[in-house]
Amino acid sequence: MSDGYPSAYRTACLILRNPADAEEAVQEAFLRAWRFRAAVRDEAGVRPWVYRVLVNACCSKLQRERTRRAHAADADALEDVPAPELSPEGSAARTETTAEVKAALAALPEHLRIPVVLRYYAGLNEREIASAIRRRPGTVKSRLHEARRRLGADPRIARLVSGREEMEL
Amino acid sequence: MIDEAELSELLTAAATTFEVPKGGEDAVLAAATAPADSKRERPHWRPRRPRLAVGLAAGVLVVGGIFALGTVVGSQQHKSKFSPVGLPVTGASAGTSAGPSGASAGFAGTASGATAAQPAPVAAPAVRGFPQRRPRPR
Repeated sequence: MSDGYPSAYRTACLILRNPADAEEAVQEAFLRAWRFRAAVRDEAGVRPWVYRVLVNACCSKLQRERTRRAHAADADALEDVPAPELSPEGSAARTETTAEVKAALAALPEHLRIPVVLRYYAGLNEREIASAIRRRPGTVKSRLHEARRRLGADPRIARLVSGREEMEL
Repeated sequence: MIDEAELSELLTAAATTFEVPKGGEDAVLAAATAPADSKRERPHWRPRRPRLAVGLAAGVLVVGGIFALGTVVGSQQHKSKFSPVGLPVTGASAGTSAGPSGASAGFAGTASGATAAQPAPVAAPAVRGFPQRRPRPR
């Protein structure tokens, strides 16, 4: 758990954009994983199975959030993106970079954001993602492709990428 | 389209800004090792496509209901179709099947030699006879 908890927590943060909700989702996921650990036969299947439970917990939170927003009069779609907590070194450029990445990620719809986070942060393969979100691998592939296309077209990401290329040159 | 490696780097950088709450793991361990509740949650089977499963179940119910209804109505009609009212009942016809009992009763004479193994002759539709009256003496 000590190895998987931080990664799972950060994955949930990227999906939910809210650390408090992410903490609840991760705790719920790990508790369920512990209770039904007998359902997993081999160790290789533990990680994707835990992420599947985590994704379900995150989707439940997102659903509740949508319902809450539907009732509330506030039409602001973007949840308050948490202020990035600076590392002891602290870097303005790094803060700006991560804020822009988070904003670009928040602009993605859920069905694209979740596969992107699972693939490019959590490191799951397409089959594991398909199992986690209960879709076919082909659907996962097309969603990842669409998400990369949208992020590439996002001006914030484009600015970051072009800035990096200039630095390399 | 953004490069995969580039995207992975950006997401990792963004994720590391989230500090893992201290005690989060301990809370999970504490809850996991706590005494089990009386109402223990059991993993239950969830259909992959619940709407499809519900639709199929409803279809099976409807078809089964129609079949059952048709069987009940058909058997009732079958019973009442050949009513033996007004037709003489003979001994030979007593052994015939209950369904066309009215039809075969009118041909009791011809069917007297029929056995159970032989198929019953196809009878003409029964003609309801009225009770016969003796002519009045003049």
